[in-house]
Amino acid sequence: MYRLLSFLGQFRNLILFLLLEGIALFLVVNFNDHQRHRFGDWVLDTTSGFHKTKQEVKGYFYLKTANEELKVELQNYYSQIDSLNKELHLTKGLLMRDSLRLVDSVNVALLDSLGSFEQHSFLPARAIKHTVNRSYNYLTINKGSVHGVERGMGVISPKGIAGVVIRVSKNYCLALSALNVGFKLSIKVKPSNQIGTYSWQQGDYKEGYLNFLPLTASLDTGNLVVTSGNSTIFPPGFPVGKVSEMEQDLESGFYEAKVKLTTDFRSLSHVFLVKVQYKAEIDSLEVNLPQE
Amino acid sequence: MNPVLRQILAFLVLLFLQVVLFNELVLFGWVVPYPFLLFVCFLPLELPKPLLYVLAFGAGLMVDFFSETYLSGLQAFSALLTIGVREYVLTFLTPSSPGRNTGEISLENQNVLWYAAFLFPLIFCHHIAFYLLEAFGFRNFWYTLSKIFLGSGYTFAWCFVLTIIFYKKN
Repeated sequence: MYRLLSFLGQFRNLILFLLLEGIALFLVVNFNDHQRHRFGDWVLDTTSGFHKTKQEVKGYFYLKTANEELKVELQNYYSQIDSLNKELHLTKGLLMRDSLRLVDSVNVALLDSLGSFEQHSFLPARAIKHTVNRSYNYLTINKGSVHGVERGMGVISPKGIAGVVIRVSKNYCLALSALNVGFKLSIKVKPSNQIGTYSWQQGDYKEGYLNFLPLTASLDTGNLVVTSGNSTIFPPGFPVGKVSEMEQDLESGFYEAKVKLTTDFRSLSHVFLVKVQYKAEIDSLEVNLPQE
Repeated sequence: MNPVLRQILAFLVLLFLQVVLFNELVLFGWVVPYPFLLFVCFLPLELPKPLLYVLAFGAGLMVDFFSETYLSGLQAFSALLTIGVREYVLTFLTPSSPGRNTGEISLENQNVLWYAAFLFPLIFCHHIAFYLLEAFGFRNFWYTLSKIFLGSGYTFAWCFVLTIIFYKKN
């Protein structure tokens, strides 16, 4: 102890000197912004390496927790992707509807049938060749079996019906135009919802005929004619035309009416091929039914 | 006059001049003279070392307090370092150390050359410590270095002027 004290006493001047210098340095660093910042930077520089290594080592002990957190996060992302996919499908359908937007009065009928649109998908295509002046008019369309086109699919224009596919090759298909004397279609008259038949006769590419609508149904010019949905070709409620002329045939008990087609066949170019999702299944149920 | 009183008076005068006058006599806009060092350098030799340290420290601290540019510590550190270096300078200058026991450092029997050889190294040491501490690092080192050299010369010049004015032969 004594030796320690005498040792310290030997250097007491030096100790005092260093102590006072220490105080001065403390004052400098503590009360001067520039020096304080420089000192702080220096401390940070020299110790940051240590902190980094420490953090890395520490990280290993928290890997398990981190894994759990990541798992939960991944789960969240999965469910988010799922809901976004659903939304995407919905938006696609809406877009399709928009592209099929019609004149206002027709729109209402279209919206009516939206519920059943879900089972239909629409393949955009182009009518590369079509005629309107013959008795047997056809559409040649630039989509074939490679695109999933099948015999019996409906062809529609953005404004109304156009035809039915009857032949399919690899890249093209041929459709029976609605302007074909062999074309028959089950239709409905709005707003009475009575069922009739659409047909066409050579002459006018703007007008077709409405047959087999009983006189008991109410009918007026301007009534909207839409597809009935009785077949698996067109979605129900899709516009065909408007009644332009009508007269009552008392002998047969049916109306004789002309329908002004909503589709402009003359300028027909962009069409959609209608695929009914469960067509094969529905059709297979009706095969081999006992006939009268 | 009582030697203690004389020292106190010298200190007060130098402090006053330093704070009021010399802090404003900035050369080229960036070099300040510090002639208060005269007090530190010419502290009586017979005083015990601890007292020398405390006095130098206190003198530096006073200048710090009254200088607007620096809050504290810079001059205290440098002045203390200067007084620490002084004995080695003296030993180097006068190996036989005749002045060691004579109390006050006397300019009697000393020429200008001795004066410069004694004072300039001390001022230089002070300025090295002061400006390095001010820069607190070696950024702008050449700027700091030029400040040290120019400042030392400037301070020394003022010290010389003050000595001529106030020194009177006994």
